Amino acid sequence: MTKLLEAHGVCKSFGGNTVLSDVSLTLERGEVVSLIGENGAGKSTLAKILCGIVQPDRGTITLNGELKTFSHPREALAAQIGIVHQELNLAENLSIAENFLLGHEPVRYGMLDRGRMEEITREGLSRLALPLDPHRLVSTLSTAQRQMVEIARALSFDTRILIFDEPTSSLSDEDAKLLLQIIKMLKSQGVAILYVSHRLPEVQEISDRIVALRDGRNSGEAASPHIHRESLIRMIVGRELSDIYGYKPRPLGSEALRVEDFRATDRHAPTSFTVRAGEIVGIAGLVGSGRSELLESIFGLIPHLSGELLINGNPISITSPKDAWDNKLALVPESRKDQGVILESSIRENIILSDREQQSPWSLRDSSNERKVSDHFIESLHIRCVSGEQLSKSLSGGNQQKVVLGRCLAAKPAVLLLDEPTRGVDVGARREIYALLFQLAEQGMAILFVSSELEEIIGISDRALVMSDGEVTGEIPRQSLSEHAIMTLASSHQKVAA
Amino acid sequence: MKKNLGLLLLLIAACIVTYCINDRFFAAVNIENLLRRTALFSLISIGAAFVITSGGIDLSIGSMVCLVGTLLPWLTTTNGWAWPTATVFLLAVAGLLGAFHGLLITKLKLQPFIVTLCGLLLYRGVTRGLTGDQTQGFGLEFEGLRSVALTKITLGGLSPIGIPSVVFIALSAALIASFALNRMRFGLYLRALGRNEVAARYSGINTDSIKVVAYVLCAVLAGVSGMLFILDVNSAQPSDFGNFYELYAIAAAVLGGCSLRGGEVSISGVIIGAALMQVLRNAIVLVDIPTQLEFAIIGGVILLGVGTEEIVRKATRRMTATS
Repeated sequence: MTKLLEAHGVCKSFGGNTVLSDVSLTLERGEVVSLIGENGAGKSTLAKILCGIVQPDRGTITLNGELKTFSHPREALAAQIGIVHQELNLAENLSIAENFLLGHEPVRYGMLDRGRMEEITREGLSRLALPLDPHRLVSTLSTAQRQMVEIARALSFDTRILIFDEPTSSLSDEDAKLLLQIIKMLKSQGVAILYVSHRLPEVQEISDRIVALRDGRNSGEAASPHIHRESLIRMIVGRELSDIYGYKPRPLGSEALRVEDFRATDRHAPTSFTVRAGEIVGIAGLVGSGRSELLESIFGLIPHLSGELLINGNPISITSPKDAWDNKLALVPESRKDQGVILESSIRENIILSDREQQSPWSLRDSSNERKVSDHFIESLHIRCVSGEQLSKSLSGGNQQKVVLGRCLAAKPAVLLLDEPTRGVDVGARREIYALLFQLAEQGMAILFVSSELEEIIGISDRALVMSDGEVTGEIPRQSLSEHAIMTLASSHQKVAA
Repeated sequence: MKKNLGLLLLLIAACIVTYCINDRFFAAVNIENLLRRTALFSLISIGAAFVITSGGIDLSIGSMVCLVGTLLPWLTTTNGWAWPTATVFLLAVAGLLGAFHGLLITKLKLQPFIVTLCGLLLYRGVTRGLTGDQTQGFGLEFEGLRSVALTKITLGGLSPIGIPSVVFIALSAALIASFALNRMRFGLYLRALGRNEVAARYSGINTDSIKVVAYVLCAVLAGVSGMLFILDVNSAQPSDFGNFYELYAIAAAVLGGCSLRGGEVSISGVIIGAALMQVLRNAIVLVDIPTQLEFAIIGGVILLGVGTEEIVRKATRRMTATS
């Protein structure tokens, strides 16, 4: 029997980095299949290949038994495959109708046929029972409404297969419920749905079948709803930890950072925790669980709503990143190129930028000291460069990250915060960064880091905090740290549609 | 300095070509005149350079020159203020307006282009209103004050020509600006901010206050040069005094190596840029080109300079990439 959609032996690598190897997937008419896996497991890449955004290196895609190659999303759309993206893809400054028919506008006498546009849009919206005026600007819509408009648009091309890529990551619980209802309705209309998510409760609720990917390979498949959460988690994570970490226990000092009843944003619950000198604490959680915001709020980038921060037992007030640096906090930000390294500046200028002894703009630069400090960190962090004068943009990602680390360390902080410290960093540099973090902890630095990679959390943390929906749902000491334990806490707080 | 070599060659070439066509170019009076105008325009160009380095733009420079320049004689002669009070007051006004620009841009997040475009319209309009659009000047009074701009210094006979005093004022400003940009943390922060504002903020730099300082410096330098301009020429019409000066300032800064994207600056380059512009204006008169063509010539040369530089840069990059 021929399946509606069949992908077989799909391989894809980006610049030597293998994302998918030999992945297969099938989809029937009226079936909801969920694709699950960790961040970086290859879910989104597979989804993008199916709808023509990314082209596979090898492998076949057949539609009703007919071999297809999509070199552009338009071709996938013509074959009635649509996608609703994780990040919403609507032009905010255009109306719903203009967005709806973007690139497919009906034309009469060489001009836009506005009447027809409105008609088509109204029809499309009514299919999802959306009471929206086609003339409304997208910028006036809520996130959930925008997503509905996207779904309606995707369906307006007589779509037989609709792919959802992490659709609920930007939705509230209420809106997520609504979305799941719409998916059930589409299923009853015979639309085949591929649902990419790592939110297990909703996956279990709506799927007929669940396909798991791990490290770019199929790692399991099960019929829902008869499968237990535990087995799903095993399908997602069950792998050996390759030890690139080299964790060794070390004595902990006194309390360096205390966060008390701290509420970062209105999406967050009040949180209390401490980090001791010499301790490495990881914050785990799913994307959108509010980890980065918590870190940024501690660092003064987002004004926090309530609560207290204490450094070495002293209450401090932080309203800007400058306050944070002044109070012996340092941050390695999430986005290296946007928030971290200044690409057009030399390595030296980057490293000395946050120096606390000379932080007033009116203090004189001490070039011999600057050279000494930057050369010290270039050497101790093994930054591969010809000289400190070299522009940072000429360095590899891993070395740029070390430059940012050097800047943090040059400020002699008591607490080092890191947001995704090894994102986009190759394995070699990764190992060096871990070794450095252990060495810093050994010297008494308190380290608090956020990571989406469970392996990393388990590999280097003395203790892990797990966040879910803006709340710290648990704290796991090193001896009980496992991917299973983290995943259970990370998805524990998700309310599911009844 | 290596970066400015091309620009310096262009300046020398312009001087030689002009001299070949009209040998009065190197006459003492012409050189003195050129030096004075270069000095005055250098002051506003240095101000523009600070703002451009921060990644912003200031379009209100010409109107600020007009505001301070015409209100100085208006306050002193028409309204009988003592000149020290008037100068201090007007410079304070310029500084406050600069701070106002900076605050609107950093706190209200308005775009620098819009804020200073409104400044351009506002300050000239206010000046014309206050003065009733009448020509302002010192007449025969305030000779002592005017000598600040008019004195020529021969360095005790060492110099063959009288060097206008404003040259020394501009030189001091350039030295202080260079010092702030290269020897103080301020310059490090300003460049970092111009190159990547988000990263600069994450690094603990108070980016907002650095930006405000840049706009204040720009406005105050425009004010100072407005005063020197009026002391020099003695009379000015509020309707056209300082017209387009912001464009001369921005052009000099860009010719001198400032990137409108922010983060790059060289004060010596800015001054060579300002000098080139004045030599071109001078050449148009000496070479007998109709003055109506002035803007066309200046626009063309700037385009040529900036375009050639980009082409040369691309070519050298390609050469270093292949080698």
